[in-house]
Amino acid sequence: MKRGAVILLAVLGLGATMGALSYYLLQDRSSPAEWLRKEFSLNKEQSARIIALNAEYGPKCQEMCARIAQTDSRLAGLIDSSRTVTQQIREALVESDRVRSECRLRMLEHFYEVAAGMPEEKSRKYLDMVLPVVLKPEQMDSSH
Amino acid sequence: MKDDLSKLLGSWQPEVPEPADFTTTVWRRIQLAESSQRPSFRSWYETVLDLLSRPRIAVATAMVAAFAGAALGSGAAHSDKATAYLRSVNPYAQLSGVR
Repeated sequence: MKRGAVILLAVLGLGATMGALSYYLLQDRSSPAEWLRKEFSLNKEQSARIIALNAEYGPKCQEMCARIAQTDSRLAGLIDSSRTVTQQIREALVESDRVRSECRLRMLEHFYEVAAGMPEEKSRKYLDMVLPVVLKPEQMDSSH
Repeated sequence: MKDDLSKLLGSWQPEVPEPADFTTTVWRRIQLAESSQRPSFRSWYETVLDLLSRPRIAVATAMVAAFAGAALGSGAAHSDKATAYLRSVNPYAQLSGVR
């Protein structure tokens, strides 16, 4: 009985150790673009095109992020300092929505461009992975 | 002699009245007896420990645990990298760093 308990603990420990070890060993430390190349088995040409697209999109993505933060911050300030819905609040709300929609549109454009440089089957797999982000982009923000 | 006894027993009618809930009571007792025989968590646990004391079962369980652990670890590593990529292309995901 006692022997069984020791074996049970050893088995659980072995499972946990194997899990941690494989996580550590298989963790890809390359850049996201490099990971994409491996994950979708892209050739040199496809990979170079996607790296170029990512390099072009990266600064735009950061700019969009800053604009979202800016419009959100303005809206938050206006909402906080008022007790009624003013014209300024209306405009800030519309602007916040507009910036967010524009960001989603740019994201979608980028995803389509990346997918276009992949073979059909891989392009479908890629879109299946990224399109949910366009539909619910904020879910990711709140979950991290 | 034996035939006589059989005839006598066959013709015997008990005069004691049967209680109205006799059948229900009998079934309740049977159910109670059966439920007390169901294995509890403790007995399951003891059975597992007994099984693990057998070398072959212990080795097999260890192998299953090792493969399951490796599969889970590899799945988690893969999912982390996919998430990192999605974060890198999603301006909303980068908001937490700006705020």
